[in-house]
Amino acid sequence: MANVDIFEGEKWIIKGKHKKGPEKDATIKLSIKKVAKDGAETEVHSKADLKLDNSKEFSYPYQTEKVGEKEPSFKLVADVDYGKGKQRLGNTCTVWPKQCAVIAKDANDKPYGGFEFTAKQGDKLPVPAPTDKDGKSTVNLNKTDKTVKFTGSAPFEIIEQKASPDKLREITLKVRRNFEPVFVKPTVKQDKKPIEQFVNLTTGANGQDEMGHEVLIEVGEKPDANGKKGKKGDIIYIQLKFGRQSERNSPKPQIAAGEDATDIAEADAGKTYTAKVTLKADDGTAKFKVDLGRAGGDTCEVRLSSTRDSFTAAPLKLQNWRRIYYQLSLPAGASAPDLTRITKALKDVNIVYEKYKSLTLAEGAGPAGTAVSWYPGEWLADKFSGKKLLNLGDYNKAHFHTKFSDDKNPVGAHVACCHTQYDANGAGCLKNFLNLEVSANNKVKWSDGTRVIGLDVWVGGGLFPKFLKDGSSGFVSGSWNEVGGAQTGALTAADVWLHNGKKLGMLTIKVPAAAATLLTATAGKRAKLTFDVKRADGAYLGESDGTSKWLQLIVIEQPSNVVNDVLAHELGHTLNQVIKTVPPGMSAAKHGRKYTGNNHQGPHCADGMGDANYAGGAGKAGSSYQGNFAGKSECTCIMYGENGEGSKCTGKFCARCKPFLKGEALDTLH
Amino acid sequence: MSNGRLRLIDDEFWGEYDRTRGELIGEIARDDLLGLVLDAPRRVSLGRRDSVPVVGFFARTLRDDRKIRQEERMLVAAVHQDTDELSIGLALDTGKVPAPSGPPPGMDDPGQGTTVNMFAFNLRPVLGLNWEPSRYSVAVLLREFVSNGVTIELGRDATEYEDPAVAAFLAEQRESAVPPPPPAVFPIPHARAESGQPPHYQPLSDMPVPEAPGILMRAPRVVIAKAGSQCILQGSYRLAVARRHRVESRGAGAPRPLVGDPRAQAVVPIHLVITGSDLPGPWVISLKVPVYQPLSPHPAEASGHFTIDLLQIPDFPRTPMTYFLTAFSGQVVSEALPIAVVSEQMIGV
Repeated sequence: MANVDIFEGEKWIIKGKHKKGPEKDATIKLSIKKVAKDGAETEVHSKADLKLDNSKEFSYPYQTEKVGEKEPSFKLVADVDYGKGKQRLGNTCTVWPKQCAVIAKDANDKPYGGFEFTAKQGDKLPVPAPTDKDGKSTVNLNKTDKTVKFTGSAPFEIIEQKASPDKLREITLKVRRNFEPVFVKPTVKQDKKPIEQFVNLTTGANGQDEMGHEVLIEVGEKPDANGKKGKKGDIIYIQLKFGRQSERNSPKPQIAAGEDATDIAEADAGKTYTAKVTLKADDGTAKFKVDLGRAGGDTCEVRLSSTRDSFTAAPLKLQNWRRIYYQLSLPAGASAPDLTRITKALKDVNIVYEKYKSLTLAEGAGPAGTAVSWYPGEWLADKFSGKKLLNLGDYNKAHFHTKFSDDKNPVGAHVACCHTQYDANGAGCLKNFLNLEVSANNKVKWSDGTRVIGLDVWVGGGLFPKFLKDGSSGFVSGSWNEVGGAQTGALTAADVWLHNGKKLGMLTIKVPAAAATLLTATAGKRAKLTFDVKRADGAYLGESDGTSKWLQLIVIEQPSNVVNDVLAHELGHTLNQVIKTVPPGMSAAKHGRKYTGNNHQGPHCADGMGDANYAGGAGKAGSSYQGNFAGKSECTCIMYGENGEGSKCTGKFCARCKPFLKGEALDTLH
Repeated sequence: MSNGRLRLIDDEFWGEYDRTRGELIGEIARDDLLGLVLDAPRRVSLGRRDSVPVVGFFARTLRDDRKIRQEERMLVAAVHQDTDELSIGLALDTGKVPAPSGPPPGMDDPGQGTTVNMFAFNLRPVLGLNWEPSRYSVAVLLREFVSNGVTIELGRDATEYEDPAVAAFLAEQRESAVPPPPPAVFPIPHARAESGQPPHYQPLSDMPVPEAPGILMRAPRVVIAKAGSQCILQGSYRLAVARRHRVESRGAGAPRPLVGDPRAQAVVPIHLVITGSDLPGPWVISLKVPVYQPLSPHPAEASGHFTIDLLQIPDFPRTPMTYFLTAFSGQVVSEALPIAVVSEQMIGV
């Protein structure tokens, strides 16, 4: 008994020969039956008028039916009736399905077009066409009952294979494209260290140049063996993990909506985000935007994957920094201060303070007119004799500030160094001395070493031979008047000796000859001296200008730590410390050592002071702290109210101030 | 003409505030004046100006001149005339880091004589004034020195058109508006206040009330800061009573406000501003004084007394030094009352 295997729809040629039976042209009947698995037979076709040929043979081509969806194949048998009853033919036929359908789907059960694969059914089957846009393809089968095995052609992989008992030749394959997502822009640093993202700066580069708090991240695929860099529709999964150091909450660190990101989900109280993007074209890329927030020190790790929830590749790391700039303007002949200490202090709070320009303030240069900017060093102290010193103050700083190249607006500061800082615009610069009594008993040492009748008078401030504001004489005018009499006379500059650098702020008045004669002529005779002087207010060690707070004056004729600490202190004020404004989401109460006044000027930090002495900022009642935080050696923060020479300042922002400095946006110093 | 002795017109405060300087210096020299003189424009146009200039003179002895850094010590206090709120700050705060300074060591006593300088500052940033129509009574203080008070009105430009009907209408509306409830009395009278136990607000027969609006105060000159000590501050006052101070129903059927003292006909605020001989402070104690006498219809003036134990008030400073108390209420500024606080250690106890 022989069996023939054919594909569905093909013809089974049924042949028979009757050796002893009817002769040529005899009519025979043919019945074709389909044999079920249980052996039951069902006639599927019959032919009643079949005739034998000359050789007593017959041949009948039977067009087979399609194999049913639920059956793997079917078998056909044929009975023939030569007129004397049925007789089973020895030949049988097995009908096999010709093709099976393949439907490729992605992980989300959506049709996956372009899936490339091979199939084996015992032997290799012809390579099927890739799935069409509906995810469909067909596979030509072998005539065998062997299982068809599908294999994704690299980089495709079959994750799951399903067939329904009701549709044995419709195979659903869940497939994926095994690719390696990569960051296109910005890229992971080779040393795997975080990108220092300067979130306070803005450019047009969508944050891809390490500047800006919003970063447009472009991702794609690593080229496969064929050089292909992804296929339209490929899904790249994204995970963000934020390392929040700051309580600042605006703008919120997150994956921003828009661009190509979909399925954005937040977890872990905003510390984790997931999303996905889909490539829009073959060899294409996709983009999503991340808002890093604005707080210094906060970190963000971005991971990519071709599969959901499996983020094992090296992340793109970012850390928030702020960069501010300064132009250093330095008096001619002066050495640039070593600013290592302030640089470190600022680095501790994720601020880079970068010098972008140096400028020498030429000796003698200053505003037009008679104002004194450069003055002889001996006016200040003998040790500066022979040098010219630069004073910067309210009367001339605007002129020197015009030398500021504000190229980094609004995050550039002008650090204007000077030898001294006196102000000369104040109403109090003109000081009147009234009715100073003098008698013959008042003997003072004159400039030439002789002793004369006169007075030593403490004036204070910047009392120089010339008033800094306008170059006029520091001594303005004066007069003497006899007490109990009518004699009077003028005091002139010749009667006044300004001690200058020997005893700055002090003058000696020698009564004129006429007055001296009067006072010595009569025992107990007295005269009253009245005179006016102009002197500058100060001295100060540094300031952050009240109007242009990005202008910082700093006196460099002081120890390096003082220069640094004063500069950092003033910059701290410019950066809104101590908590002049509270960054969004933060609580000023958490600082816990802010105070205002208490024998200092402005808001400051008393870190190091105990709770009892601090007493809510008022100072412990009945103690030396009540209303007085001056001279407290336990307070060591830069933002403590004192950091001049002899202070205990550590040159660092304390742990209480740091969070608030980190929470500052620093998008402008203006 | 200005508020004070500088005899300036309002516009001169913006740029020419020293026009009368010579005259003032002459007066100070002639009269041997010591202390603070203050002046300011009566009216500041909110539209035309952006600052509130306050100028003055500070005359002190040569001895004081060596000790006092004005920018670290001079306080300015302003009372909002419609809310009674007190604002206070350092008048000449530069915000700069001062270099160590002072006279050279070993200088002799400077002897007799006076030194004077002008000072000027912008009140707006110093006190953080809201730029809105308002009236303030302002004075400066430095140690025992208290300036004259000046009143400054922030408002529309005088040259702006003002519809008299609108002005009258607004005034009527304000007059008929329901005022906020009066503040609660502070400190609350002692249960035995009627027998003289402080705090109380009983009349003091030996302390007349001022004949004109004002506040008088007296206290022990020196007190020891120790447990059980007292520092009895007594005062008398004559002050204007506004509708917001009255303890009366705020509308038909509304209950009489509760202020902690059923006898109170009104409650008037008196701010005690305290500065020290060694430290500026300021420390502020805001009294809310009950008025017991029947009040005439609005507008009214009331007089009365207060007696409080400063050492029972936590905000009163106790660090040994001399303190100077100045009372502010409405447009009234008192003289400074000195009270020295000494410690037990200082007397060897």
